[in-house]
Amino acid sequence: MLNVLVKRLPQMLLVMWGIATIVFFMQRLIPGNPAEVILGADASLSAKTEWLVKYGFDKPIVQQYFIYFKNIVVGDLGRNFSDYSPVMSLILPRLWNTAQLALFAFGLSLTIAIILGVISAANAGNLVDKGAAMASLLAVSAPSFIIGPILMWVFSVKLDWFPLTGNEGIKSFILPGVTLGAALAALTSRMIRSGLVDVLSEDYIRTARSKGLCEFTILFKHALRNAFLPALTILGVQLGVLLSGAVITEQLFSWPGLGSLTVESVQSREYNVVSGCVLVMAFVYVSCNLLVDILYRVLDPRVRLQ
Amino acid sequence: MFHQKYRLVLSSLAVLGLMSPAISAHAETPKDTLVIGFESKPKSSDPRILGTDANSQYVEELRFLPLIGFDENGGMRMVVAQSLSPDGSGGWKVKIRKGIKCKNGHEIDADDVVATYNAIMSSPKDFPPSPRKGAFEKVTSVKKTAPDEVQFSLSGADAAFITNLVIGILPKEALAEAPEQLLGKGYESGPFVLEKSADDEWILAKNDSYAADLVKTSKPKLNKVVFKIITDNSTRYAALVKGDLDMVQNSLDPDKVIEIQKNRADKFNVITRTAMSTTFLAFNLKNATFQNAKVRQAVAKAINRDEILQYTLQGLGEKAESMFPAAFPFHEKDIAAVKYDPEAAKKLLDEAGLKDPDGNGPLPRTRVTLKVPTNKERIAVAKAIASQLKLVGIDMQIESLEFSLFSKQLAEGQIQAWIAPWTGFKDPDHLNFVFNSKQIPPIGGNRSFYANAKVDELLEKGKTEYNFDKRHGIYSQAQKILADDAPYVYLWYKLGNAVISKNVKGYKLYSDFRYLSLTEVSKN
Repeated sequence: MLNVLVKRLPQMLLVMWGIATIVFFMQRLIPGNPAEVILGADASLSAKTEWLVKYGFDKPIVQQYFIYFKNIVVGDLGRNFSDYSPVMSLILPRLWNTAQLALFAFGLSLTIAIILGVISAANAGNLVDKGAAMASLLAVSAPSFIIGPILMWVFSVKLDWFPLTGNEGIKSFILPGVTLGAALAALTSRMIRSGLVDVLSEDYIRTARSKGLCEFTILFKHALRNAFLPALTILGVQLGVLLSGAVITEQLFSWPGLGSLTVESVQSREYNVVSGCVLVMAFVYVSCNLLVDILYRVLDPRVRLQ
Repeated sequence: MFHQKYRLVLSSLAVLGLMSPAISAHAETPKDTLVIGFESKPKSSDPRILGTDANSQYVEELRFLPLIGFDENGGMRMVVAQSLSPDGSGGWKVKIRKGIKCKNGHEIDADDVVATYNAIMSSPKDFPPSPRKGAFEKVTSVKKTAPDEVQFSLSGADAAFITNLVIGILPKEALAEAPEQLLGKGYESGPFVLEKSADDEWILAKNDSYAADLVKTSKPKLNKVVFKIITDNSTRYAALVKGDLDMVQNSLDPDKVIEIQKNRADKFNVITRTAMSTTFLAFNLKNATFQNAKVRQAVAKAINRDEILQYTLQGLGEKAESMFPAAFPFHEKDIAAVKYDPEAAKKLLDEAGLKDPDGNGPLPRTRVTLKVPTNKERIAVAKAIASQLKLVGIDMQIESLEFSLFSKQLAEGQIQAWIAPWTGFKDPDHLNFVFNSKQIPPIGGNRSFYANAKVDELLEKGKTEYNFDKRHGIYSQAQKILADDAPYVYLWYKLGNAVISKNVKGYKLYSDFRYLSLTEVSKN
């Protein structure tokens, strides 16, 4: 495991540096500047100039880049322009909100995927399998901006089973969690199902059956472990996606997460907040990939890092 | 784009009957609390650092009393200031009202006023310049001239200056604190204190020390006001219908307001009033086509505003003939209404030399481009106008741009014509910013590149005239010239709206949409 970390760490740092650099220059390439957003388009030229000087935007772009990079290295992401609060104090609560929702959605979708995948594989070709395939197709085809409003209107506005917005405990996670996790559950269940169908025709499964092991043990202990490997890659990437904020779901359920913070910050040219958010997302992404690499080795010791 | 898709989904649900009011679960918020839906989180309510964000300004005035404010109809009212008077050399003397106390017992005095304004004009070393500093560029000093008097000295006469004295006054001890440290110290002198400022909600609690009688309002009847931040329009509407919100103001789509008026009148009241917000179509006078006033007048006559107001804005607007609506003290009533007359428009275009090349054939007289920011309503209006102009032979292409790009192109004179609103004007000096040839970008807001020496002269005279009647005459004359020159086609004044639950009593809609009437609100 240490070997994996040592080999992956330089790659991770390189990716983070690349992303930080791209974000820095991309933000300065798009039209408009934060002074116009904070002071208003009608502010006087002298007021805009003074504001830009105070934040160092008058310096040559290369110099700005080195200052930006130096600050990142020492962990200083700067301050938010609009309320002058430290960027980290904005990002951390949002990251926590996103992490809670993402992990709930991930757990929910994984549970559904495993159950549905195993049931489908065990009943391959019959009506149960076809029904599960239909349900999966529906969940994958219907994006969150369709599932979300339907769930909201039916289960919150009409039936009042769940809150519409806000955080009122576990009940608040159900609707955004299902909205966020539906497609992932569907996709993963199909991958597990097809993996299991292949594995279940392997010799070692026949051997297990001939030894009289119960079907549950065969499926969950012996078959699932091998069938799960292809799905793991998808899950790793998807966990990264979920943790880096699901903008539409967050927007729809007014969930104050990282995705919505990033979008708001891009719109208001909050350069420091955008950089901070993207760096945190990048870190989450590369960490999830690293986690997948490690899990691969745990699940299948034959896998070696090249 | 995905907002449109939400609406499509919600509309489909409506068709399926899922939205029928009869089977809606309608929860209720606590009796002593009013829950209001906000479309965005206030960026800050610290008077030193808040900028142009409207929600921040609304909360600011509920927390910190300013020197002056504006009443329901937009008229100026004295708050911490007892009176204002010119100092004889272009500046103003402000007499400070006695007895206004913060929640922590500190009485607001002249020193606090001086310290607050100085903090705006010259930020402490570690702070960025205040976004409000620009309004005080002409101020040479703010001094305490008596225990209850402050003098604002200006570099030149400016009758409009007093409308800038709306900044919430902080006790001077608070000015040493960072913005995030102001919470819970009792620095508030307004009707409410900030109890919580989170990403999903801001909670204000009643300030028992509020000197309501001194500032001629009432003490809050409610214990709490919650501003719930719901960024998505459809979700905000759903929250209102469900009963999670007691009211929303100007933040529902027009079709939803009408739907509530028609189908949910048993649960909600909808109140409307004309806003200090004027939507216009402007021309870039550097463009050869629009240099001719007859072309601009023809465009004005070719636009059927009644039709657009009825079908695109669902009636939430009132036709405009000049910059200022009727409730504004400097409204000019002697400007003739522009009537929809496509035949007259064609005649004007002929006179301007833009003959129709093929009669009623497909070839246009001229081609122009209209640009708007990526705003759903403005794009719809632009499309409606383009289709009407096509009938008189003007081929108008629509381009929507991200707001910063739109602003940049506008300031650089790259936009031939555009649609935008001017909002929140408090003084007729606004015309100087928009039409004086010395205010051409990057300095000011004359993005039409309009230049008329007589208008310049009048607007500069109006700026330095302190007598109301004389000022009125000056701006009246300027508005008439502007109506003839038509650098803008005034479209409509926005009709603001508030959708309020039936059990909420006493809420009044202000012309600038501030929430000051919250002190008078109670719930059944």
